[in-house]
Amino acid sequence: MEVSKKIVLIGHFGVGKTSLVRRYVDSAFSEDYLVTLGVQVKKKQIELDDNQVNLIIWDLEGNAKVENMRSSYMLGTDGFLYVFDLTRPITFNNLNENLEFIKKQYPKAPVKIVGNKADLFDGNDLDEFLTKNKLEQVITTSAKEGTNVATVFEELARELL
Amino acid sequence: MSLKSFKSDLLEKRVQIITTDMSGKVTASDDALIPLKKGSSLQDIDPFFEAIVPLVSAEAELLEFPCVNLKTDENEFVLDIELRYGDGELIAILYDFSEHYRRSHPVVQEKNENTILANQLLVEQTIANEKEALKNSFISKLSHELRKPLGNMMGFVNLLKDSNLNYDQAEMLKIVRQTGLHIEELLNDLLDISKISQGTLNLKSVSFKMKDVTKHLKDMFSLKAKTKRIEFEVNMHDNVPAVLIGDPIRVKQILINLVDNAFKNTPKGKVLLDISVDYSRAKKVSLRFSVSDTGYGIKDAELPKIFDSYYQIDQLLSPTEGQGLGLKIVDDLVKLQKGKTKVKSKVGEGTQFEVSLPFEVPLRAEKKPPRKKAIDVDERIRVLCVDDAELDQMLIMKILINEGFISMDLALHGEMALQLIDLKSYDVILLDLDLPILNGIEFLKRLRAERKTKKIPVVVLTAMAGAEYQKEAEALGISAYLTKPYQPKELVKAIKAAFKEKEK
Repeated sequence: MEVSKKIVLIGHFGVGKTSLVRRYVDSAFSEDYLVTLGVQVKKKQIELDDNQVNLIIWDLEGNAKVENMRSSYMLGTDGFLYVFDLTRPITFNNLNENLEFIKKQYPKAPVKIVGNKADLFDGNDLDEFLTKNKLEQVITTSAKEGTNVATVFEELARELL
Repeated sequence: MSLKSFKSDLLEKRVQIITTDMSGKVTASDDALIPLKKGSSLQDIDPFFEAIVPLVSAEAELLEFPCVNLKTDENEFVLDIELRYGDGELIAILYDFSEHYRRSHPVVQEKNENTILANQLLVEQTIANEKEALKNSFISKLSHELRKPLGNMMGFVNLLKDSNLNYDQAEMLKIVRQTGLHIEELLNDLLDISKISQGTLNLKSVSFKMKDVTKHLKDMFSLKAKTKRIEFEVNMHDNVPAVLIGDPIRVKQILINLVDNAFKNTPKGKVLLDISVDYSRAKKVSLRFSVSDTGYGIKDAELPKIFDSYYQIDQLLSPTEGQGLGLKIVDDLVKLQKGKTKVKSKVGEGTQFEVSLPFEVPLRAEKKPPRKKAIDVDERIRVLCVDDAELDQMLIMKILINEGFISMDLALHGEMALQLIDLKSYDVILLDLDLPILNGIEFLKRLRAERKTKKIPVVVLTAMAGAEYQKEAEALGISAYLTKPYQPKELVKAIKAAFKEKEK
């Protein structure tokens, strides 16, 4: 069976949303930060449990508050990836507030919380950091090294099937 | 060109209109921006349309999407896109605002980059603050731990000094005593640094004479100058006000550290302390203290680091003569008093430290309160010492016996002390805070709660030098708070003062 699912990446600017998409779709990474204006959409076809899944990935421009994002971009969203930067607390300080808003506005769309730039931590330091900041439910990724990038997209896709 | 034709020309170049069936299959397109092949779909242009086309219906007849980045084989666009429902077909209108959006891109890029940089700096600052707090807490604990055994050692050294020693023994003891005093000084410095960083060092604002400060310095360093054969000169300008309002202890501490540092780094020549008026306005005056030497000098590369505590600790741990923590204290104390520190140096020629400190000047010279007539103290004061450490007890006992006190009882903890107080009367209680069973603070609370005992003077003797401990004890009414190591005369003075207070 072939299905299409719309996944939207949201979060502050500079957290690595575009890098995660590039790593996942194009297997590429650049150290240079290039701001995203508006939206950029990419597609990735994957096989999942005998299903042909077309992931339509909407990479939105960064915004500190989800409620300030253009609502038309969210239309028809099947699932969200809420991305933050593990090295910048300001990008996860209002995490709960943003998640609450998403759950209220899009109750049927599952949300995966992604802490990116894990490559900037040592293994033990990262565990300690997540515990200290009560972020145990977060999936940590590194767009730079590719760690967990496919996992995070595919775990969400599996939830959407 | 007419306005109408200009407008239509502009629209033709910047706007594309495509009609499709409800599945997105193209039925007509003017191809103004993106050429579409016959029979193609909107979804073939960009995956953007894949999620959007199914959403358009008679119920949702207009959908607007600003700033959509589209990439075709030939071009990259930033478009505003409208999708409309019209009689069973779908109309897509693409507005090309690529130029407009690209022009705003660098502005947003710069703004975001600056914000990210500011966030990172904040994180670095937070980490540095946490590291500093951890260091201060470690220093504070370490200092408390070291203070107790040092107190015992210095106490017995002081007692031994006054016993019958031969010349060699007295000389050796002198070295032990000097070493002990040096350790004590370093511990006090460490504690001061941590107090300043934690914001618990409170400055005094009292009137004092700068002449007294300079006299103290001259007395303190004259022997050192003689021993090292270095000239030490203090030059105070005539316009320096005779009386100032500030914290003389901290001013003295700054100057002692600077002069001491100059002596340490000067093998021959001169150390000069020059005090002048920087500026004076109404009741305020800023004094400039300049300490210059003819010593080794400091390399340019080292200058920015000399006030750093880690650098100072590195120096302290180096095999050469320890530099102490003096300069770090100077810098911290000067900043605390809202002053400024400058340093100039030339290798082989010497160094000049310049400190500017603000003071207030009293309008009229304050009259000294008349001296009270000294009260004779009965030296058979009944003392109760509450301390569980055997060495501390012995030390106190020896000091008191030497001073002629003959009545002293011992209690190992607060509970035992309360039992003794119930049986006997005491004039002064010497209390350690760190006690088993019933600690010093709990003991004080119980003591103050009873009518019979609430007025017994208490002198606290403790290794806990933190301001918070002192504050807690003071709130429960104590006569004095002495931190270990203390001098025998300090203890005696505190006991006598407490006794006088009781007799009033």
